[in-house]
Amino acid sequence: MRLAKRFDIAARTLGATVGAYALAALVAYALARLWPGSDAEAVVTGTIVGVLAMPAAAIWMFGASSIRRAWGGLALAGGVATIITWAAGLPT
Amino acid sequence: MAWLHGWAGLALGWLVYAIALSGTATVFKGELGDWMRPEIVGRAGQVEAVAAALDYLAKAAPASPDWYLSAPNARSSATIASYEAPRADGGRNYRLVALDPITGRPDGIRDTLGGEFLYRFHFELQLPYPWGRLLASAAGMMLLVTLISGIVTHRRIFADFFTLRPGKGKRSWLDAHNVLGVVAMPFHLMIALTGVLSLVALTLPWAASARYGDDMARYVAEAAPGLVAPAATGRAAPPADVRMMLRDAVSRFDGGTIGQVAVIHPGDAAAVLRVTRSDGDQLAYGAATSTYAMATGRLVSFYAEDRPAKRTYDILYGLHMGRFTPVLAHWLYFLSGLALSATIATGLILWTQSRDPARTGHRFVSRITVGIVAGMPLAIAAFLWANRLLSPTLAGRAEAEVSLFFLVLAAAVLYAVAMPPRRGWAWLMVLCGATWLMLPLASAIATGRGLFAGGALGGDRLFVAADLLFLVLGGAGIAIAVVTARHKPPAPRRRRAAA
Repeated sequence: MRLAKRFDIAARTLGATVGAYALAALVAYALARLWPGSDAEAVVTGTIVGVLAMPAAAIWMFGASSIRRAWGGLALAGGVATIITWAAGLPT
Repeated sequence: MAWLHGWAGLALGWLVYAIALSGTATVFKGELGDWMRPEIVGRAGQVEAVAAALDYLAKAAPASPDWYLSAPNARSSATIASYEAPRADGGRNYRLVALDPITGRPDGIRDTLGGEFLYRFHFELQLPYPWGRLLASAAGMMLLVTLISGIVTHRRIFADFFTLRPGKGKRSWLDAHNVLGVVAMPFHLMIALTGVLSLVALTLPWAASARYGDDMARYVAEAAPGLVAPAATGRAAPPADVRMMLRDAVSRFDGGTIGQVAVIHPGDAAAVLRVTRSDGDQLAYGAATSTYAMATGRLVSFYAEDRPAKRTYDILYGLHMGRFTPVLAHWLYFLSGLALSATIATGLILWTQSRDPARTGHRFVSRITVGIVAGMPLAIAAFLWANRLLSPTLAGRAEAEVSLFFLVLAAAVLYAVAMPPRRGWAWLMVLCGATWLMLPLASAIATGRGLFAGGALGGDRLFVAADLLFLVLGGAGIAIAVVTARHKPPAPRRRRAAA
């Protein structure tokens, strides 16, 4: 396998595992912060949606046409969740 | 995407296969427990059985901080108790004991984990907490990604579904992989997703920290308001009428039955009796919980889940557990689980057949694959054989049954590594098939129950059904061995002009 191809696969794999989990964690956290219901309901809602984000992100990392698009999309989704989390502040 | 499907499938494929197969067997956890404890023949009502078990625990485990009981039901006739007991090395850990529903005592019942072993192995993989659960979660997520990328890869998915080319070697494996994968695809996706969700409190705790910060006590209390657990006082107090509390609980269950019973701080003045409704007649996992002050018999709390998000989660969890009533549903879960295991197995075999066998790494992977695919069903059969062959009074026999499971699995893998894959596969499958086929006979000799003990005429339905299932599984094992051994690999392909 050529070096460029190896790098491409390694970068996508990293995004599909560590990156996808980080996105799932951020989505779970951000949604739980935003959810208007009770604390317990917000936790369950954020967690279920966060879990769904992980396979979606993993598939995206391998489906995207270029490595730049793959990581760009992941960073965009993670960035939105981070901004929401940051804007919502810490739990009181 | 095909690349992802192939490699992601292989990376944790062995593990996912072992998880899928043990999960499939776990569909019949209760029935398996009854089959593995042939000494229990009596039946008792739930209230009487639980009261008898609590009497026994008061004498056998007064120092345990809590007792947990599964009440007997239509699928399992023993009361299963678990309590903290001192270990030989000075430590303490929870012990699982089956109690006779009539006497409430474990006397005369062979020591076995029953259906609990494969159930635990399914998500803990016999590894210390939390590593087994983390690994099982990773495997479940990998299965989910593999399934989705598999759907994307197989663009001709519906056309492929009607394609089966038997006797064509690799192409037949591919067709079998596609048919088995597609026919139960909704089940495969559901079981992988809900399996990951069932362990999510451990793997994705970030939403909880988003709302509760470090206040985990408040989180636990609000996540499960039914689980009332007051602090112990240190003062002793005798229990009030347990039967009355149990009957009161049942009267609040809308025609439902008792599922689990827990006593927190038994013997203490603050002890509570927690009675949870059986979830065997509903989709959702977990059900209404009625809690009583043990010393007075007074109702402390009654909680039935009605919060929409939590209820959604409980139903997703319940879909994974597949406990809902009709027996037909259990068989559909069992067959779909077999289909999933076979999809994974054929996928693993395809991967090895598509690679250059001259490379040492590939050869090693193929042989281990053979050992695990054939070794897992063989090891489960060995576990059941051990249950029949080991003396019922042997000390540590529950652990011996489990050891035999792992010894046989390890031996199968070692044998497969030493053999050319085709020969190893054929012999292991023959052995596996024969082990399942002979099991009804061994069981009849050891217990005097089942198909070969005149059970077909009597009312011993569970034992006869189990024997029939073992015969079918054994027959299938032999058939697979014969079909794959008969197949001759095609001669090296000659170059042909395009037709």
